[in-house]
Order: sequence, then structure tokens, then C-alpha cells
Amino acid sequence: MGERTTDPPGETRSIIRRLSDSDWFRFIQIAPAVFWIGLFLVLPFLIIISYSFFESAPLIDGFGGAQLTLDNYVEFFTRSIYLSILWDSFVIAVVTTVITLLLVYPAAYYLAFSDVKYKNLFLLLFILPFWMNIVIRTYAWRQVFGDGGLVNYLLGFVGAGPVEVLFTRPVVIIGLVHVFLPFMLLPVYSSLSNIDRSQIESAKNLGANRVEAFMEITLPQSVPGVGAGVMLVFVLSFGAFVVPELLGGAQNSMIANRIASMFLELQSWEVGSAVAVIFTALVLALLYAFNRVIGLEGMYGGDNA
Amino acid sequence: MSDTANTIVNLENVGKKFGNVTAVNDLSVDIREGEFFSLLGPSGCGKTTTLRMIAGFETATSGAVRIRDREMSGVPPYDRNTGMVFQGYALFPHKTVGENVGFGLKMDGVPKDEREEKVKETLELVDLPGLEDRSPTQLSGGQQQRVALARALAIEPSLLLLDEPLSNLDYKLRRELRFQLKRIQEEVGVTTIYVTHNQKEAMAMSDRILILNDGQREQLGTPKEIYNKPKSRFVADFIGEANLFDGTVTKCQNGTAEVELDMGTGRSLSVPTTDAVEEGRQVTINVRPERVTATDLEGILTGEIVSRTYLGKSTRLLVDVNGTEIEADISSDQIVGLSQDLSIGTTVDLTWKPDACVIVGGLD
Ligand SMILES: Nc1ncnc2c1ncn2[C@@H]1O[C@H](COP(=O)(O)OP(=O)(O)O)[C@@H](O)[C@H]1O
Ligand SMILES: [Mg+2]
Repeated sequence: MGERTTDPPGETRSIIRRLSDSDWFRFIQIAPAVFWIGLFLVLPFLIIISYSFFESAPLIDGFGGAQLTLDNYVEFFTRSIYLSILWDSFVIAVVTTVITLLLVYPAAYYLAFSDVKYKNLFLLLFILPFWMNIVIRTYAWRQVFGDGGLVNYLLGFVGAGPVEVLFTRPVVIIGLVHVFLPFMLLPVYSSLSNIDRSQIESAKNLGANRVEAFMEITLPQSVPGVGAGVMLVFVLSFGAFVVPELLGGAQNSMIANRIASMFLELQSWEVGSAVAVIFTALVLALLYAFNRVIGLEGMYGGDNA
Repeated sequence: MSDTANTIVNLENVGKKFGNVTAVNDLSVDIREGEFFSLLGPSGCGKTTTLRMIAGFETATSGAVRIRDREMSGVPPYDRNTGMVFQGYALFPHKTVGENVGFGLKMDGVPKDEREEKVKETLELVDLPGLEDRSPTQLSGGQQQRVALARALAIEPSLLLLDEPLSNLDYKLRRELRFQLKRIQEEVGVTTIYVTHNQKEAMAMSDRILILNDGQREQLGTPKEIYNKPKSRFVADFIGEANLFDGTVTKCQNGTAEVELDMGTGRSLSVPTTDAVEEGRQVTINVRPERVTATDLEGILTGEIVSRTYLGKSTRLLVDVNGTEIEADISSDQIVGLSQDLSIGTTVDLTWKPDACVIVGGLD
């Protein structure tokens, strides 16, 4: 409980205290969140899971011909299109994550360890993408990479082009890096700025040069933050929808776009659900494996101890 | 250059400015091989900055820092062979105690088994045998402090630099570790520069003390010299308690100066002095509270008791003498022998032996 600025009179206080100490009150405190998650996450997902085991989607195609089956899963594993798009999405997510980390680490290091005057302004600039609508931003990117866009316009000046830029994989990756960069920056910056500078000085005092001090002291203590950032960016870009939809087009769509088109365009809810279930299980398995190796603590602001 | 052959650190007119803040100002001092040397002064006087210039973390903006006659500008911290204990210890939380203590040896390329042997030895030296595999975060403050010390000592530095190593600990532990630190230093024999704002610590441990005030050298000497012959009001005040009187010399003969006090009692004090003092000279005199006694006879000064505090071995009186407050520690033994009870508001006669009076700053 937070600190009260003024204490209520004795009688009321004891009632409030008894109330706030009771299990019942604790339940009231977390109930809305539990309800919210139950209603909007667990329930829909249970529906999707059940769809994946039916021949046709009961809530849409009626309960009449609803037959339990594994055909939807068989379809996924026998038609190479699903596996190849899943693999492509995985590759895009990995490349995006690696590029984001390489971009962010030096910047976060600089912000955490130098006494730059406008540190907060820089941090704000990095986080700015959070505040701007992703659809608007991504459409703006099309103006840059499109056929008559800025890139081809500039290429025209030097006598090159026009080349197909939009709807290529690099553009999708560039867009994903841009959109998810803050999710890498914040945890990495936070873990770096938690490192006591005198530890680094101490290492130098004991004979470490700059590189050795970084490898021995700074890098290991930034691992939790890097782990958290890598996980966030990987999961978010693996399941990305808006960016590949707008920048990837048909040739370079990702797994989420595929699932959506199966639901909406192909009206194939059963197979789409099976793909969604497999994708979700895969993500959870990857997270589990990752957690075994790196540890999740950093994600919840755990200290560096 | 250094004037004695066994000088290990030589500061020559060293100054350090941060922007327009002068942290250290024209500081010159020689630190001798093997000594326990304290930098003492109030917070913000430039102690840490001085230590960091010796360690190589700050560069002097003027003057020269030399270690073993070698000018140190441009020499990075890792080439100076100093072992530093930071104020917050700066232990590596992701490494075990053993890895912490062995870190410097690892950087030196000492092979693993040799390293482990040395780590074991050093942990025994600081009374923490067998803690190699613990995490430093599991240790108490006092243990962390000793791990930091062991880490600095393991590289067998030519200089041990300690920045207020005891200030984060509670009183009792501080006293214990003070003796332990001194014992270890004597056992190892390493030249030690000790930064503290605690004059008792400095007094108890040091061979010599440099008192800094506002980035400047105030006095350099052994603890005894500094306590008994403070060179300035600042030093007299900073080192233990002081009763300071300003006055004018009226007569000087046979090793005694008569000093008429400015405080308007018309009183004169006889102050022993080895030097000749010319008449009319302004001086400041110090009488330590523990040298002041109460008497039933006529005292040197007479005043009214404003407050009294029982301190166990003695009672601290604050006595108002014509508007000047004087502190006196009256021992419990003495109180028993007095006819008056020294209650607040009563008048008391104060006296002291002639040699309790010291002219502050000498007469040079
Ligand atoms: N990195 C710095 N930047 C600006 N001012 C500093 C810096 N380090 C120390 N100072 C200033 O220099 C003076 C001396 O500081 P310091 O050496 O830390 O004192 P001490 O250790 O005696 O308490 C203080 O006024 C302090 O504010
Ligand atoms: Mg300091």
C-alpha cells in the first residue's frame, strides 16, 4: 500500500486496514486483470485451438457437420508452403533481432556511460517510434521505397534504377528494425546504466585495459538486458503483421499475414487455426529454450546481482 | 624532484580543476616507502580527487604526479601497479569472491593454479578463509570491505590506495576493522595512502597525516605533531575539540609568553614557547577541553555553567566566560573531590597546567 499523506481517524483507519489486509480485498485487486486476460486472451485462444481440430469452424459454418479431425495439422506438414513461410518468417525475425542488437548496443552503451548533456532527449528520440501510429509510419515508408519513391528518384539522378525496392525482404527487415528498436533499447540501456562505474575503474586499476574491462565487467552484466531485448524483438518480429503487410506485399508476407488471409480471404478457419496453434507452440518452445540458456530475470528489471 | 631517497609518491604543485571548481590547489607532498599516510579533511576538500590522480583516473591540470620518480602523466591506471579500494568497494557482483580477488592476477596472465593459491593466501590474510565460491552479494558490509582489500592486495601493488574504506560500516565494525586494516598493512608492509574525513581513524592508524582544506595543504605531520602543535585554527578545530583564544603578546621572557586575551576579561595567559615572540603580536591559543579542570581555588578563567553532559569517564561542561563559550571535560574522579556540584547556572573556576596552552600555528 502506498503511503498516506493524512491518516484517517482511528475508527475508519482500522476498518480500512482490516479490509485491505483481507484475502477478499486482495482478490478484488487482481480480479479485473484476471478477468480481462481470461476474456480476451484465454477464451479466444481456446476457440482457435478447438477450431483446429474440426473439419469446419463450428461457430461460422454451423455445428451440423462438425467432425473432430487431425486433417488440418496434416495439411500444414504436407504442403510445403506453410513450412516455407514459417521458415522465412523465422529468418526475418532472427536477422531483424541481430541488426537491432548491433544498432542498439553501442548507442545504449554511449548513453549509459557518457555524461552527455542531452541524454534524456536522445533516449526520447529513440523511444519516439512508440508514440507514432505504426500504420501511418509504414505508409510513409512506402513513399520512400515505392516505384516513384525517394530511393528511386535519387537513383535516377546517378543514372541507375529504377529498381524494385518495395516488397523486398530487406525493406521488410528495415521496417521491422525501425518499429521494434525501442524494445531492444530500453532493457539494454537499463542493464548497462545499472553497472556501477567504479567497477570498471576498479578493473582498470587491477590491470585491465579498456577492452578487457568491457569483456570482463560490462558485457557479462548487460546479458540480462540483452536477453530481454532479444526475446522481445524476436517474438514481436516473428509474429509481425503490419510491416510485412504494407512493405512486403504478396511475395514477402510473413506467417501472421498468411494466417490472416486464411481466416479472411480463404475462409479456411480450420487450417488457419492449426497454423496459428503450431506457430504459438513454436514461439513458446523457443522462449522456453531461450529462457533455459539466458534467464528471464532481466526482463523484469532484476538487478545485476 | 623528491628530496628523500625513499620517496615513492611525489606530488609537485599539483592542481586539479573541474570546470571552474578547483578541487586540488597547488599541492606538494612526498610520501615515503612503507608508510601509512592519511589524507584527512572535511568532505569536499579534494581527498578523493588527489587519490584518483595518483591512481590515474584523473589527470592533474597543473603540476606533476610522480611514482618512483617517474612522471605519471599519460600513464593509464592499469600500468601504475596501484591497488585501490573504492568507497563503495566496487566488487564485481557477477563474479565469485575468488574471481574478484584473483581478477588482477588474471589480467596479469598468472596461470590458474598459481592464481588460486594466491587468492587463498590473500583471503586468509584478511581473515576470510574459504569464501572463494561465495557471491560478494551474499556477504556483509564488513566482509565485502575485506574482499575489496584482498582484491587490491592480491596483485602485490607498490601502493595501496584506500578511499574511506570504513565509512559505510557501523561504528563497532569500523573500530574492529581499523585495527585489522592496520595489522594487515604492517604485515604486508605496503605503502598505503588512506583517505578519510574521520580524524580518529587517521590518528589511530597513520604514520603521517596530511590535512587538506579546500584543496590545499593545511598541515603535514605525525598524528602527535598535528594534535599537539596544530598550525592553524582550522587544524586545531578539525583534530579533536579545541578552545581557541585570540590575544596579543605583552611580554616574552624565559620561555614564557604573556598573552592578553581579546575576550575582554583583562586576563592574561602564560604560554610556554621555545621561540622568542615580539610584543604586540597577535596569536591564537588552544587549550584542549580534556586539559581543562575545575578548581575550588581561584582559576585562570571564571564563568557560568551553561550545559553539562555526562560522557561516562568524564562530564563535558560548557562554560560561558564573558560571552565566550569554553568546553571542559571534567573527569569523574575530579568531580568527587570538588566542593561544588557543577550544576547548570552555577559559577565555576577553570584552570589548566601551563603546558596545556599551545600557540596555534607556532611563531614562524
Ligand atoms: N568529476 C567531477 N566533476 C566536477 N566536480 C568534481 C568532480 N569530482 C570532484 N569534484 C569537486 O571537487 C571537489 C573535491 O571533491 P572530492 O575530491 O571528491 O572531495 P572529498 O573526497 O575530499 O570529499 C568537490 O567540490 C567536488 O564537488
Ligand atoms: Mg571522497
